[in-house]
Amino acid sequence: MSTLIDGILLGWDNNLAYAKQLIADIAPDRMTHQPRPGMTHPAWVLCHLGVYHPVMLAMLNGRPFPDPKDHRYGFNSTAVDDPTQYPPKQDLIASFEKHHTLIADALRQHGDAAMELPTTLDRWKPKMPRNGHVLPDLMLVHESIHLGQISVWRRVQAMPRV
Amino acid sequence: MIEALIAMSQKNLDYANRLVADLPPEKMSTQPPAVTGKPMNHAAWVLGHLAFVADFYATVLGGGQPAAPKHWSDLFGMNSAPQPDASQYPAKDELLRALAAGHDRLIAVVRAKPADFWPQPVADEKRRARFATNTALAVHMLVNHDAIHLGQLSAWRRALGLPSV
Repeated sequence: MSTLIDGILLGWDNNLAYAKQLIADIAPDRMTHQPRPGMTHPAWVLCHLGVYHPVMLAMLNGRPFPDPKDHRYGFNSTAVDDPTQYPPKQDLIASFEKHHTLIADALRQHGDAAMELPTTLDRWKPKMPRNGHVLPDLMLVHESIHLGQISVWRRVQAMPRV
Repeated sequence: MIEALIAMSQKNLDYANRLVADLPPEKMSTQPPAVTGKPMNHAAWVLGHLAFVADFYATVLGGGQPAAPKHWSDLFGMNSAPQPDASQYPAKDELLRALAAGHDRLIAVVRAKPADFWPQPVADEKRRARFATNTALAVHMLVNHDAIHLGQLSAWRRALGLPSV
């Protein structure tokens, strides 16, 4: 296992721990609350990040995948303050944790070879021609950005810092 | 390994610039109206904090004396909080220059380390409690830390009714 994969797994595990801390004390009926219109909320963030988990697994196992941008929680989606549009909190965190584990295992098992494979999604190819460009970005940068949004969501409601 | 982390760091820097590109200087420390609770991390604080921390980590890794002004520790350090008074903060251009300079300094120090440095335990005992190896520290320094704060900045934009970037 390369040192890059070792490093990615460290950041990936940190993201899972941080995500769990961020939502641990949020009441289930507050998960879609928007302190200001347009702000992303924890339910949307976990759903949005969850869109990419099957993508990562597909990449690590050499399988094709649909463009995540078109998913109902994808890049083009908007967070709404409507709990009926999102799975309940316990389902969200269970899925998040399960996929984090699956992806970590797949990365350990297939990562070195999978990283060298060419990117299959056309719009990613120009800037990220190989899986080794996409996976670290999705696993570390993308997840961390959205977890930062939850930290602000907490802060503006005077929730304790984690 | 380290070049992949540096590439992500560069992507973070690009994103930081894009997040503030359309902000007039007088909006950099605005707080969204009717937000209860603690103030949000505004653009001036986020940029200054990221610049300060990059510079700090470059020093921690043996890159010589800090380049950031001494008072930035109070303004942007770990225990600082965003203030509503815009006059307390450097101008937008200065913050962006400091961020770029901090990034450059950190990346230069990181690139100068031998490959066998990264799997080793972090030398500082207090820091080692959180980051067992220099690799873990590198992931935090170059990628996760900045990305989390940039997510905060993106949320601040939305709270102000600004378009997403």
